Amino acid sequence: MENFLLGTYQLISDPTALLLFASALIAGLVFGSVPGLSSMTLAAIFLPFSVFLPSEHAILFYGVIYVSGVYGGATTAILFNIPGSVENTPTTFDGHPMVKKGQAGRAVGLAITASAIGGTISCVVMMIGTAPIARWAISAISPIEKFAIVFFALAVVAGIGRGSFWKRWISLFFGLWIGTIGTDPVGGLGRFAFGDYYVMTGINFTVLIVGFFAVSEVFVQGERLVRGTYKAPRVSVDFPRFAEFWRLKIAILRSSVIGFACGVLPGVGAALASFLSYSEAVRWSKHPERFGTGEPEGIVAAETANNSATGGAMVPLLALGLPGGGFTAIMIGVLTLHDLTPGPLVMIQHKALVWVLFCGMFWASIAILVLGLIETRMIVNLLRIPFAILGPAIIFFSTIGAFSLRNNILDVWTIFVAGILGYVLRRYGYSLPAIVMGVILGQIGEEAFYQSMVLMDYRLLGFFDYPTAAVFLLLGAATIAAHLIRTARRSRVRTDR
Amino acid sequence: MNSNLCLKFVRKGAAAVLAASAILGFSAMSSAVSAGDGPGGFPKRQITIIVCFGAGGGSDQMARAMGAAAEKVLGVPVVVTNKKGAGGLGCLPDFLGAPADGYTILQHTDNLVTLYASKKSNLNPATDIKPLLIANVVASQLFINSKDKRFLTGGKPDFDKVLKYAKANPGKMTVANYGTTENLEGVTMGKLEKFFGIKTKIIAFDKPAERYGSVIGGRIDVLFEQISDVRSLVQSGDLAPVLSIWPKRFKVYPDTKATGQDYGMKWVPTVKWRALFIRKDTPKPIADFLEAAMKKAWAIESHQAWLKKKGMHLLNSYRNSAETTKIAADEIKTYSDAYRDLGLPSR
Repeated sequence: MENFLLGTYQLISDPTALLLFASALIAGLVFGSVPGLSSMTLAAIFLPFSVFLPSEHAILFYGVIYVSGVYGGATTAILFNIPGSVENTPTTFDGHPMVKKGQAGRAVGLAITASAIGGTISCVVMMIGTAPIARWAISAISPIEKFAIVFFALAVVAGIGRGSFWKRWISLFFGLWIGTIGTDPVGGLGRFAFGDYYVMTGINFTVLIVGFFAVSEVFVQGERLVRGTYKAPRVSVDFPRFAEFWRLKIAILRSSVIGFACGVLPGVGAALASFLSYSEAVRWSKHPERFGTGEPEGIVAAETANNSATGGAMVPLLALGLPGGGFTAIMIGVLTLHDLTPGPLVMIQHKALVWVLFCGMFWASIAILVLGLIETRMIVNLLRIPFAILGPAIIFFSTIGAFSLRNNILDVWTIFVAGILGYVLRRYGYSLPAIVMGVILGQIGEEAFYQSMVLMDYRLLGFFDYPTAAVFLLLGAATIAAHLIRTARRSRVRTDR
Repeated sequence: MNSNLCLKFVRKGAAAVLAASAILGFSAMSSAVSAGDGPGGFPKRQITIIVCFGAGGGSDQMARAMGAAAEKVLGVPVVVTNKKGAGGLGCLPDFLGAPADGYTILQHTDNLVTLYASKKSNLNPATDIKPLLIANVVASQLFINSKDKRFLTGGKPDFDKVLKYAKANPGKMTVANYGTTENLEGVTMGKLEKFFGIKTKIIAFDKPAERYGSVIGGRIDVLFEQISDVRSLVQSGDLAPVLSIWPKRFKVYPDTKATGQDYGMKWVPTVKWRALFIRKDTPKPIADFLEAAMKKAWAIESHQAWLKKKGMHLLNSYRNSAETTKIAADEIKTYSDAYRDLGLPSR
């Protein structure tokens, strides 16, 4: 508590810190809310400039854009069906249908409030438990457990979203294949690269998201415009009521716990958090059939969890220097550029810095609630922009965003190829979120699988010697089995009819 | 009211940015020693260093430290651009495609040697590009979890106990390593195994943090790493050095046994090095000017202080262009021989 007050005092008594806090908050919201850009783009662009800031200011800036960017990504997911980053994908499942029903304001309002609640809860847990949780996590999670978690995550992802069960699995496998393009993580050999050094850098999943969702959405809407079937979405600013949240209190609590726990896991992080939380929300719901058609609980589950994961991700980052995903990896870069090595020492030697970060993230979560509600009134008006202007603008921002991530021209080609591919695949009912998750999980899972095999002397059943790994593998298998049974039942009902 | 507030923020922000850029611009100008002093008025504009690895890593830090020092010598801004991927190959098309005018510099490491020797790349660092200098040379150590009682004697790390354990459990002791066989780490580990008559299980972790975490978390027995990279984890008492892979013990780690001094290993270990290169067809006057400027930049006080802070003063870190070329050529031979012995693709 003392640390918290001290950190907050440092934040408000230092005008530069306060200015940075405000600009990071707004910049995160803006970058997160512009289709084609994301907080990752901002993080990459700002990196060279962060060198000129004092270390506590630099890390504060990144902590705040991390929080506000994840929320910002939700607004584009809802309004335009374009998730800002992968963890916002489940938000599109119910968010965009709500916009089509004319409930844009309510959907964005739900996302803001859920984000703020999830973020705040996880900040509190992060402040209390960073050191002990991190210690526990590294001793509990080795490549063996990590592979089992990836397997479980694949099963979860295949179970949710639009399209048929089989098409989701095909999509997932397609994603796993895309993940192998580039340099293999074990021997460093080129795969499907045809000797090209650019292709050997592999397909970056953040770029793939931009191509699949932003660019292909422009094609879809553009086609409608040409055919004269384009319908501008209706704008509304009716906000959700308190009673609505009270009804969802259990879902919020469950999603917060799932979000934080997933955030702690290195590598998997926020993306798994929102998918798993969404899938659990469907499982526990009395009306699972409503999900995917504009069910408010779907938005709340995804957004509470992905914001809750931001706090969780700070645990291994600060205590051990283990990044949980792309954004946190950049934060490690920020710390090292300031000659600080994340790890147990940072918590002791740079206590003030850590607490400024904690407090920054905490107050950012609170501020989202206030600022977000004001912003929603403005942002839903983005829907009023004629598509003939918005579409090209999205392509423009997507191109800049893609190149700025790695300064790699391959990424620019990727967004256009993925844009065209996404347009075609969507038309035939394949799941783009499943492809993206396949890429992410495949890249993590392959390395973990190889490491596990060496550790276990290439015994496939060796996973069952490790209780945690066994539990996740069985949970994954059970998840697949449950989905299979449900699919079989549904098709039987259909044939009976 | 809100828009007013926003405007205020914007105005304040703009003022801050202007002030900052004025200060930065001024400092760049005031520290300009010899802008345009080179042949034909070189350098006339900003110089870019392409780093083939991610921000914050050892290579990135080296490029930024050298970049900051070179700015003072050259009098023009030196910008660092990270182009990571493909194990350090992804940056090469952009570097090789840039004009050979000295404005684009490549930062790379001994990885260029191992990539070439193992036939994964066709760029020979000894003949196809021109080095300006080696700026960092770092030796490696084996580390253990400082609380791992199996390897401690009187509370201090003891390599004899590590050896005893490895011999009693052939092929069971796990070593967290950057690569498996084909790079500096893999080849060195292979030599150690042969010399000590042990067999270990090498687990390759691409990400440094996972490598360290696996040993701190007690899931892997031993860590192979460059001294400078885990200094803070040693200071925090999480990791402890147990063997210096060097002929003599280091002054900063007087209790840590060394392969040469304590075990009589005669092999001169290959080291990790980080260098700057330009295109081979850069006009000679510009190449010579840049080499001299980088030598000056490496030696300035602030850069020396940085090297010391990172523990990169333990070995003589500077090598000029000709010495770097020779090191690269020698290492290509060493690694090619090692790969041939292991039955791997080699030059």
